[in-house]
Formats: sequence, structure tokens, C-alpha cells
Amino acid sequence: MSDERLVVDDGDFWTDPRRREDELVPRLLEEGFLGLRLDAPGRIDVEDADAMPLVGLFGATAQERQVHDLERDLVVVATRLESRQTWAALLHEPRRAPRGRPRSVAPAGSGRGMRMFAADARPRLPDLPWRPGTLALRLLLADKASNAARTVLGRGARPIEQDPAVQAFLAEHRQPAFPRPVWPLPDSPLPTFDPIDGSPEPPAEVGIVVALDRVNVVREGGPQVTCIARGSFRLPLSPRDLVRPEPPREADDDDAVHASAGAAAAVADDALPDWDPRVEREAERAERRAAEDEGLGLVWRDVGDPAARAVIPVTLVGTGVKRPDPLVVPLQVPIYADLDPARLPPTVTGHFALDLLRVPDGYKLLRQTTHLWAFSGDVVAGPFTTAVVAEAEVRRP
Amino acid sequence: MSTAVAKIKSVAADKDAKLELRVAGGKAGDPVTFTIYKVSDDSQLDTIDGTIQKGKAVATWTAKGPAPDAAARAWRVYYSAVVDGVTATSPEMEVYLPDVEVSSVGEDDAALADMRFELAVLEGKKKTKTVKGHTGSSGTFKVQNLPPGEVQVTWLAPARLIDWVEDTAGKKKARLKKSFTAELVFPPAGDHKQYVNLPATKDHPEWGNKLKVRMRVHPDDGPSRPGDEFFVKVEYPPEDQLSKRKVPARKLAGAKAQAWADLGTTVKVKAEGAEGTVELELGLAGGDQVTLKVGGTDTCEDAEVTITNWRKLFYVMQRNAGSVIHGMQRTADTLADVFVEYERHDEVTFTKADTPPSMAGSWVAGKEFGVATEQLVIGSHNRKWFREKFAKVAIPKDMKQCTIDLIVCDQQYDGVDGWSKPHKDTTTTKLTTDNGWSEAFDGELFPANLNDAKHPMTSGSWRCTAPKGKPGHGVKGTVTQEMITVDRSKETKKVHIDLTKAPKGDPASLVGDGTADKYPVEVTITVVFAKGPYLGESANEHQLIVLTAGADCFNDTVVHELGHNMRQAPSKGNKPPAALKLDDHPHKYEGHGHTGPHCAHNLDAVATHVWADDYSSKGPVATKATDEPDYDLLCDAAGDLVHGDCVMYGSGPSDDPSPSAGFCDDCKPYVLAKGLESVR
Repeated sequence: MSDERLVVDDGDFWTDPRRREDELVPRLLEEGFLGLRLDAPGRIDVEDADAMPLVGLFGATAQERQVHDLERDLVVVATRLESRQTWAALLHEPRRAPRGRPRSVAPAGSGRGMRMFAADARPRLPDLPWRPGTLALRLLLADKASNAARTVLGRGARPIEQDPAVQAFLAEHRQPAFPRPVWPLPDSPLPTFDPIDGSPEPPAEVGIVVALDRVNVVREGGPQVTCIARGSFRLPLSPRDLVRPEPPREADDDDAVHASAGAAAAVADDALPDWDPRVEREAERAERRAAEDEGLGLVWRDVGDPAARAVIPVTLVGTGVKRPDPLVVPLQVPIYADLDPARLPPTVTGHFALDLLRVPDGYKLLRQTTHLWAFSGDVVAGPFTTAVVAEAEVRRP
Repeated sequence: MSTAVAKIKSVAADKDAKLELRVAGGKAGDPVTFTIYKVSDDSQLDTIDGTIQKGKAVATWTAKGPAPDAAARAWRVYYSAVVDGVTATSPEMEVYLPDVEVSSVGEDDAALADMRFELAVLEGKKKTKTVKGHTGSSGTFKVQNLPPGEVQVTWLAPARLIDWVEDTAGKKKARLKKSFTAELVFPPAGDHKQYVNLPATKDHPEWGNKLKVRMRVHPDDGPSRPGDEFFVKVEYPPEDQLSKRKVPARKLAGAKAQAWADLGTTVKVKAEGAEGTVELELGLAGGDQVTLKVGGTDTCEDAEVTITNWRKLFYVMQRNAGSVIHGMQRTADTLADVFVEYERHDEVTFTKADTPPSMAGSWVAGKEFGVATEQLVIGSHNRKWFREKFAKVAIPKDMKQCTIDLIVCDQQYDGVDGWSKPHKDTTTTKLTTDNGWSEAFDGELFPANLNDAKHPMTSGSWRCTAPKGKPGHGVKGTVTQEMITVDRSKETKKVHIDLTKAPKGDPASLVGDGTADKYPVEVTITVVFAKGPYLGESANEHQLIVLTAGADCFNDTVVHELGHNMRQAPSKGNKPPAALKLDDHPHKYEGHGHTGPHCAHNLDAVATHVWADDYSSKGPVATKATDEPDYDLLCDAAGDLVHGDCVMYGSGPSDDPSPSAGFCDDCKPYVLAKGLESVR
């Protein structure tokens, strides 16, 4: 399989993403391919398209297929390489199905199976800014991850950015974006961005490592800490990661101008009447855009940690074995080492430790085994597996 | 007797009138006696002395007119004089009363001050004089020096004439009402429902959040007159009985604090017979009330209406003509609690014969689902047909944003993907006997595909796995449809394979478990499958509701899906109106095994235990039920599954014996406050 594409060309994504199905599936089945593959359009014009079609292929043993339900379990992860932000969601919208106790399932045989599937990831990632940028797209299926498919979100058939002179000009004049505020803010004892007992050593090469207790017990009335993720990383450092003082005036690049307009619109939203649906929608769009601007680092914000010299985005995505709806923890990790802007090192090391049960939606880890993945730009690490059981469950007969 | 030519003229009573008669005899300075007669009966009215001057008998007469209490304002007179035995007679002359006393008294006959009137003098139909005045503090006003003619007195607003107490030549005394009685035209007095979410139209004044209140003078006092003034005031319930929604603000146009009302205004009539109108902004929140009172006086006691804000939504039901739809009174009752009416605009029924041949696979024999009647399966493979039918339903433009396409189906499965391609899956299965079940596919199979009614297998092959040198090594063949059976009563995601029916290669004779020189036969099959079953979906105005067995459940699902269209439960995506805070809803939630924003009201009260994922054991909830990740595993101490009691709770039981209690008290303020101008 290696790097073979799942489509003939990008046009297939818009007409028939599974065009190669009848050719690929028998061949790969014959070849014994097992695993998860993903393909995505090389470029999507954000002005013309409001969809992000993906096509995937899953080859597995019958036992694996019995465990994994592609409709229920697939998680799509999109990382914007410029800002290193990551978004994740179930690839298929959960549907209302009749509820009832599960039927007993006969054990699977020794066979295999393969399925090609297509889906539009755009509605599943509503917070993903639909703006020019480069995305690394992946699929997660519990402890399995697909290859990364790279998609460039572009604007217009012949964007001005493709003009070499413009590229050179932008390279020289464009101001780097700003780091987003540290999140979560350090507290005692957790969260912390200093190494603690059990923190792994940062990897020698670029990468992320996370140490988790394999089984955690939520103790009723006990200590607050219940499921600690201890992470360390070595990641590339870019100028946009550096903490800088608030600029005296607005940056004059296009994005910053947009950012300021979006923020102003968001403020004005408070004054708008909320009974006109058009006004309401416009206000929501402005609010969304302002939030995106902040997320993309287009608006200067105090990072909230005076000791931070840089802030590196690392997003943890946990998908459970029983309930795959992902837990997304968008860490903004402060780097405390002194950094000389004139002589930036290519990489920095950092640490984080936090109780995953205390982050928003942390309940998703309860009563199941979760495979945790870490993303930062092109870097992906995992799975790091943990399980959380309640003390009450331990006491069950 | 000489012939005299006299000029007919009118003179005002009590004024000097010059009398002249041309006479043939006499000499200048001779005295002459003039006699004045009434024309009506030739009776003598007066005599005066005159003289002869230049061949004329002349005299000055202080004219005597009718008495003020006479019926007629004027009388005709003539006069004559005898000179030298010859009688000269004048033409007729009119003497009229120039003054008219106008008086107003009330219903108690006491003087009524300051009543406005208009007095007109008519000559034929032509008005020769018009005087506007009022009766002053004494209730009486004398209009003087009027020209001759018929006098008409009209009482001006607000006075209303009851009767004339005195209507004589010189006295016009009227018994009056000081004001008129006001009457509500729209909304009529009493209780009124105003559907604030719909745009106001000429045909539907009961729609719209800006209510045009129309009032008129009661017919007994009517019609209205320019200057008539309606007094209007509004009274609201205490603040805690109104929605927190503030935009648009409840307001009576022009109303302010008055001496006679906390919030009142007046409306003047500009033209005769015209209605008075005033705009009342009701806001968009359901259940809000206002009482509006109107009157011809500032007591505003003539009529009142209590207006309650409702919202009206519509649906077009599409359904299989053979399906028996549950009654929807429960839906109506549940929605009435949040001041919503859900009105059936139209119904589209169809039979199998109405559906195109391409939908042949959508009609599935009941036995495939364990029921008696043929089932209509709706989903991605055919939903376009239903949506197109909905698009052809005539829906007035003003209702469009508030009309739901309610498609009722017997079963819901998706036969194709987002590119209208059937879902396919391929498995290889190793059989060790001449027949057996395949490995499970990724979805359910039907004897005929939902999307095209064809056999579910698109391709298949078999090969004997016997190693080299053993019988059957390298033997392979094609799996035909005759070898494949879908038996949903036993397996819904597998096919049964019968090697004995292979047309070629005789795999049945080769298959075995590796003993006796017989080896497993590997069968590779690609099938078309369907995703599902599902319990319904909502996509903009299109709702697909599965006709469940339980009427309550069906009704609750209808309300639940409509609740989503009403952007409930509140969430980051379902932003509540500005005056309500998202965090004030204590039981809103997303996730926990459910899709979308929902409400977990009462869950903590009823859930004490939680099942293990495989229902093999249960233990108490760790802290509280709403901290649990999977609400569908929550149960009570007896092990019975429990759920929240709000209709916006997220699970979708198809036959749950304990239906919802409607919108809970946490959700209600949000539902009431939400503007429902569009539910698409």
C-alpha cells in the first residue's frame, strides 16, 4: 500500500471518492493489507467549497472488525500546521439508534475484511477555521492511527500568494503571529509545566512522550488527582511561539487587519438586537471569526504566565474504547527557558502534567480504556493508554 | 288702488327695517299709517306711523320676529298703507331671529360645560355661515347676528347627542354625553392569542410581534369624529411573571406615565368614521401577557383585552398511507405548555404504487423486521424523493420559515453514502463445512438492497486453502447469488453461504477442517449494506420520525425533534437570547452518549446506580449521575434503566414505558424566550 493514493486524482473527492474501491479492495485484501489509510484532496478552495471530503480504507481481521465500528469509532483529527492547533471529532455524526441491552455476539472467525468509506469532515469540525492554511489530517481508530494526509486550504484559483514576488515580499515583511495564552494556567499541585515525579525525559529527537498510569481509580471523597498525564516533549520552536510585549499599534499584515475587524464586530455584538435572525447570524459569524483570530494567534493576548518565554501548542486527543467521542485537551505549554530571539534554538523541551479528569469534558475518560494521542504540528505521538474505573466499580460484586 | 312693487327681503328681528311703498296720492309730509301683517294668516302684527316722501310712503319699523321659543326661526310679513283711499301693499318680507342660544346639559339635566359645537346656517343646501364654539362654563352660549336660513347645530367630539331638550327658533338645548364609548375592533375584547413569531400580514392580524390595535367609536355613539380621542393604557403582570427576554422591548407606542395611567397614551381620530390605531410591541417571548384597556375617557373602562404571546409552527406530514399515525394531542399539550401551537398545514400520503421504480427496495417485507406489515424504509437512499415532494407543497411565503417537513417512516436506514453510492464491504470467511455464516459485515443486509432492490452481493469468489500437493489445491470459483442467503431472523449483518449450490468446482466436496484431506474454503464476498437502524433525524426543516409502537414515545419524539429546531436545549451552539445566561441552565449537557444539546433534568434524582458496559453488574454512581459518562447505563437500585424527565433528554427509547414530562422548569424559560421566527 505504502503511499499509494486511494483516488485516481483530486477530482474524485467531489464526484466519487470510492471510485477505486472495486479495484483496490480485492487487491489489498489479497495482499493482506491490515491498517487504516486516509486520503484527502491536496487543495481545497475555501471560497468555492464548503466541504472537506475524505476517503479511508480499513483492512482488519474479523476480530478487529468486531471490536471497531467504523460508523461509531472513527475520529478525524485536523492539525493546522501554521498555528499547530488541532481539532478532533468523530468522523461520523452519531445517530439516534434504538436503545437496548446489547445482544450477545458470536465470536468472530479467522477471516478478514476491508472497507472503503468516504465522509465529509467539514461539518464534523465546525470550529476549524475555513481559511487558507495547511492541514495535516489523520484518522484515529482507538489505538490505530492512519497516515497523515495533507490538505492545503487555499483561496481562489490563482491566489496572489502564488506570485513569487508576493511570496518574497510576505516572507520579508509579514509579522509572526502571537502565541495564545498558556492553558491551563498552572496551579498547585496541578496543572504544572515543570517536571514532576514520574515525568518522562524529553525525547532526544523531536517528539512527545506521555506517561499515564495504566489503571486509575476515581476515589470517592479522596484526593482530587485521579488521572494524571505527565508529558515531555522536544518540539520545533518558531518565532510565533515567542512571548512578546503587546505591539504599540496594530500589525499591518492582512490577517492582523482582519483580526482587528473581527474583534471589533464581536464587541459590537453586545449592542445588537437579537431578534432579527439576519443580525443574529451576522453577530455569530463575527464572534466566530474573532474567536478564530484569537485561536490563530492573530490577536495579541497576554499569555497569562509572566515566566513564560514561549508557548508551544500540544493537543491531547483521547478516544475511548467504549465511547470514542474524543476528549480534546488543547494545551498551551509555557517554555520557561531563557530564549534569545536573535539566536533561537531549532527545538525546545517542555513538560506538562495535569489531571485529565479535571479538564473540561474529562468525564469522557470515566469507566473506559482510552487511547491518548498527542499532536503538535506535524508531530504525532501515541497511543498512550489509560483506563479509569470508579472506586464504586471496584466494589461491585 | 294703486299697484305697488315691493322688494322681498330679510330683516333681522329687533333691527330697524325701512318700509317703503310707492303711492299715487298724498303729498310730501303727509302722515301715513303702515300696518304689518303676517303672511301665514294675514293677521295684523304691528302698525307704525310713516310719512309721504317723494311719492313714497316710508317708515322705519323695528322688526318683530318670531319668539325664541317659536318653532320656526323666521316668518314672512307684508305691510300696507292707505293713502287717499288707496291701499298700497308691499311684497313679502322675511323677519328672522338673528341670535341662537346653544345650551348643553348632561344626562342629569345639569348644565354641561365646554361642549364644543358647530353651528351652520343653510340656505338650501349651501352653508352661508359656520360658527364653531363651545358652551363655556355656564353651559350656554348665544350665537349672534346670524344670517337668515336654517340653523343646524352639530356637537363636536367628544360630545355625543342624546336628544334635544329644546329645539326652537332661538334655543338649541341638547342633552349630551360628555364622551363616546370606545370599542376594540382588533383584537376584540376578551382574551386574545397573538402569534408573535410569524410575520404580520393583512390576512392575519393575529400574527406578528407588533400588534396593530384598532379601536372605534361604539356604533351607538358613532361614527367617530375628527378629534375624538381614545384613551389607551397597558398593564403588565409582575416582572417575575414575564419572560426575561428584553429584545424587542414590550412597548405601547407613545405610552408614558400619565396622571390616569402608569403607561398610557391617547389616539386622536383624524377623519370622520376613522378608526383609532396604536402599535403594541409584544416582544417575541411566548407566554408574555399584557392587558390593554381603551376608553373614550381617561378611565379606559370601555373595553379591554388580555393578549398572550403564542408562537405558531406548522408541519407538513408525509406518510405511508397504510401507516396508522398516533394521535398528536400529547404533542399539542406539551407544546402548549411553552405557548407553541403546532398546526398541520398539509398532509401528503402515498402508497407503494405512488413511489417510483427506483424506490422498489425501500418497501421491505414486514418479516425482515419481525412485524406483519410491509415496511417503508426511508434514509439516505430515498430521502431526496420526500424532500422534493415537500418542496412542491404550497406553503405561503410568510409561513415558510416556520414550517417543518415531518416525514414519518416505518424504519430508518441509510442505503447510500454522501455521494449517493451504496455502502460496500468485503469479507473473507473460512468455511470448514459446506455451509455456514460469513464474517459480519459493517452494517445490516437485506434480501434486496434498499437503494436498488438488487441482490446484496456484488461479487464473490471462493478458493480452497488446501496446501500444495493436497486435493483441491488451487481450486477456486465464483460465488453466485444462489449460494448466498440473507436470513435476518437469524443474522442481520451476515450472509449464509451454501457451497453445495456452487455451479462449478464443487467446493462442498473439498471443504473440511484440515483433516481427511479436506481443507477450509475461503469465501470472499463483497456486499451492499445499509447503515442503521436509526430513530429519526433532523436536518434543517426536514425531520424524519420513525413510527414507533408507543404513542407517547412517538409524540415525545416529535416534540423532541421540534425542540432541536427551536434551538433547544441551550448550548454554545444554541445561544439563548441575550437576557438569559447559558450557565443558568443547571441541567443542559452535550455528549454523555447522546448527540446534540440536551437536558438532564431529574436524572440525579432517579439514577442511583450504573450498569457495567455489558450489563453484567451494576454499582452505585461514583458521585452524581450527571457526572457519569454514559447516561444510557444509568439505572435505579433495582437495575431498571432510568432517564431524565425533560422532553429534551437525549436518549431515544422506542418503547420506553415512562414518557417525558414535557419541557422541564429549567428549559421552559429558554424555550419561552427564544424567538421562533424561523425553525429551519
